[in-house]
Amino acid sequence: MADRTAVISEQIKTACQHQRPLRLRGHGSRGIADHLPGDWLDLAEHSGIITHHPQELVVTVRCGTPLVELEAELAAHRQTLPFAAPMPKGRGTIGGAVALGLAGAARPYLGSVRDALLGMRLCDGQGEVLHFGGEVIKNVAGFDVTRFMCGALGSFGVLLELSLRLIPLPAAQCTLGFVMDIPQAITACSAWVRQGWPVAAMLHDGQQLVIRLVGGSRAVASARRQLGGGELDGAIWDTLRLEQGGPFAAALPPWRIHARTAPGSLPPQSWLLWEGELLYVGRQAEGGRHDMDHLAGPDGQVMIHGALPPPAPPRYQALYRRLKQVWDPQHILNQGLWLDDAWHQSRSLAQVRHG
Amino acid sequence: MTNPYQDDVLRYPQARDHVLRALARILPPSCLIGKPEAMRPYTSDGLPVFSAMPVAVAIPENEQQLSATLRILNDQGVPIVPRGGGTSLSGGAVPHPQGVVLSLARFKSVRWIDPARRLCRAQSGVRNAALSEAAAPHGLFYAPDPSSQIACSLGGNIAENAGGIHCLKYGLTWHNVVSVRLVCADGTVLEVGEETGFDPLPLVVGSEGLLGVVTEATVRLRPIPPCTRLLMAAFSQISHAGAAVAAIIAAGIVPAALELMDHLAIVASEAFCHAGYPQEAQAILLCELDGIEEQVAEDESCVRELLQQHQATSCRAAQNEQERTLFWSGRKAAFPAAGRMAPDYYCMDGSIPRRALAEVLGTINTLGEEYGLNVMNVFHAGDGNLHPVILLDADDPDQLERAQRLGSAILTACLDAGGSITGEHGVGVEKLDEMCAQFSTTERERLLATKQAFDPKEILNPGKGLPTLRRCAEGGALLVRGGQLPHPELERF
Ligand SMILES: Cc1cc2nc3c(=O)[nH]c(=O)nc-3n(C[C@H](O)[C@H](O)[C@H](O)COP(=O)(O)OP(=O)(O)OC[C@H]3O[C@@H](n4cnc5c(N)ncnc54)[C@H](O)[C@@H]3O)c2cc1C
Repeated sequence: MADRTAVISEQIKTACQHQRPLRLRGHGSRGIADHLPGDWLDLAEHSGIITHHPQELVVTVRCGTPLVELEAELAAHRQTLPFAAPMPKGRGTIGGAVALGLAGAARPYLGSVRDALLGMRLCDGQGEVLHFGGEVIKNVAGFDVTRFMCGALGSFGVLLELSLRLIPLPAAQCTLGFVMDIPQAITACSAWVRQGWPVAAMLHDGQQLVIRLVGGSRAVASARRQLGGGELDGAIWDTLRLEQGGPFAAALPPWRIHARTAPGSLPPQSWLLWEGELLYVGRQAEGGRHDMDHLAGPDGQVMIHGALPPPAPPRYQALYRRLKQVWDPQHILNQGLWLDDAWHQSRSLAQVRHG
Repeated sequence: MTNPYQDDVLRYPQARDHVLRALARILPPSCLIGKPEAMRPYTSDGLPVFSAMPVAVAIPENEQQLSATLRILNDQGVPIVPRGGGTSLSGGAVPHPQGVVLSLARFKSVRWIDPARRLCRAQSGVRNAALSEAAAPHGLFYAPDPSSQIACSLGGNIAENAGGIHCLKYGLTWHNVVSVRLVCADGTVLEVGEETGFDPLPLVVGSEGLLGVVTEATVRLRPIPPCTRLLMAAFSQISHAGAAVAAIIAAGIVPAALELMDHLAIVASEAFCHAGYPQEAQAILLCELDGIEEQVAEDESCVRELLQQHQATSCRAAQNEQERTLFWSGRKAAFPAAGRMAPDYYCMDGSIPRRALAEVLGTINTLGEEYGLNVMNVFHAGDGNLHPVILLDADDPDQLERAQRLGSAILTACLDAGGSITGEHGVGVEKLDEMCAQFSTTERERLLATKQAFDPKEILNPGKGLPTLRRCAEGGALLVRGGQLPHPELERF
């Protein structure tokens, strides 16, 4: 529970002087930065809630704050983060969740991680502490640097403090299961949403469609009556968030696939979310990439969940480099991330040349 | 006609004839205007105090022509001002006197609608209202609904990250855009928008035409809610209305819309469109609830209770769709109504935490008296997005000067309350000085460098959105906070 801004900034400035890269770590729950070069920059101690205005539904929090702690504090005021970011085995910091930018099963209905971000204090690759956005709901002064940082995995700056919009915990909720195949499930779920039923999450586990309804008690009861299905205990949502069951229980970390069009069926031990736009596929053994590309379809994205992400698509490479030049010109922070082979090759050649 | 540009952004010395000839080589005559008389409609936007005559207006028919136009102008170092509906309230679409206006007026096609996935792909010149019209047969609508929606374009909405009455529940333009097709300064085309990972989309949305020209976008559509109820509550004091807003938000209710109008706004719009507003009230709140019947009923009883607790003098629900439209018509016509109260009006756009509403409204009132000008308030209260409207006669230089100083003082009050100088109208040419107060020098340096990463020759909408370092160093003209320049420790040059 301490403000380590000065220490972090100093550490980055020193790294610049010595031209030694730093790799960022919150809880290290995913180990993404394990594969990157350089000294560790540990952020878990930079933690604590700075302000929480329950009446405003806004919280400002240091990046190292554990998600579990933050959510417990919010729950005491009957509030929560809208995006239900995954927290593998209960670990993970809010800074890590925002840096990764991956939302949970509620994404199509309650918004993405970026959607909830209002402002940020960050420390860029030269150790400068900068502030963008704020604690207000609407703010269009300057480019939206705050949301740009989300998902970039700290490669433009260390996310020191985050201001986030909250939602009230629903008065009532219920989880329903329906035995149907994937195309049926996607059609049904989409239709219910379009009819206005308060669907707040969906998942298909290969056998059945599971949905979560939230809202006022009468609204949820009425939806439950109308939609039918069998009532479930809702444990599946925790299992998903904690990444413990289904595809996460396989021998290896699962594939994560962002598909533009939903597949008609899934391999065993897979989960389909976001009405078909997000898939987790269990991995029992190495290989199988080709099948995954096929599942993802054209313009889809395939990666191993929790591993170092692949380079940014070729069309972004030049722009990425120019933006990196602005925010981290010496490539100190999470070096090499998002860059393509050409960059890595030129870099290693340069290193050979300069001894 | 005030020239909004300082000398340091008037540094593009291309000969007019040369530019016109180069454009004539790639654009058919019907796509190019060079005669000043014909360019007059393009000389200003929704903030008419600023205007300028451009070198030419290009109105390409397709992306190929648009991209070629950018390439040529980039090669020659000629400024480009993208223009959608021309309704910007911050001078964002005001021409550059040494540059070319690039109109998206012919990018008018809705490419496709996918009702199951609730997505729509449209060209950027499509009017905002036309999106919802196209979606309506599928039971869907496009949620961001600026009051200018019959005239403003999707591209302009993306460039300004526009909001509207229903953004409280459904989000701003940002929350409803999935991806955009961006033509960069050098004419290259880039599809932008990723769910996770490195993604330039957040920089593009709200970039005021500084980073590229949007030609197409994929946007989210929302289901038209099965049930909608509009409540109108009256108050004898505006502070009661402000407190009621804070209470509704704190109770965890998310109305589809929560708008506040003060006495002056009530009187003005009632005279203009007879919406049935209570004339004697010092403030009214318009609170719209939507969802399934049961949810709306639950929320309504909770909201009614809160309104009563906060001393609402009356609370009426619109009895039918016709009355609901009528109640909204007064709100939506508030700006034209202001136009009948005074020869000119100047609309501000500060954003504050909702808990500070009552206090800041009080400050605005006091400031109005101090500067001897009437200020009318009609705004997105649920979002904390103020629109104080200063009434004036702009032909009177003294009034104009007082209005600008009052505007700046109001924005300072917003910043002091922990807010922002602009919630949805953008910085444009209007709030450049205030940007010096909201951001530190290093922050502004990073923003300027980010622009250069997209637009190295600085030809896209130069002189807008971001102040030059020199402008801020010279004192940011207007904004002096608490008698002190921002960062007095810094050297000025
Ligand atoms: C009566 C009235 C009411 C209004 N109410 C609201 C409101 O409720 N909420 C709100 O947010 N705003 C409101 N506005 C402001 C304005 O309508 C919005 O900012 C709108 O988004 C501007 O869209 P436009 O198409 O008119 O853009 P323009 O005015 O033509 O341009 C605005 C900016 O966007 C850039 N631009 C335009 N098209 C593109 C493109 N395709 N690619 C890149 N850059 C582009 C321009 O260069 C300029 O900087 C109102 C304005 C008026 C006059």
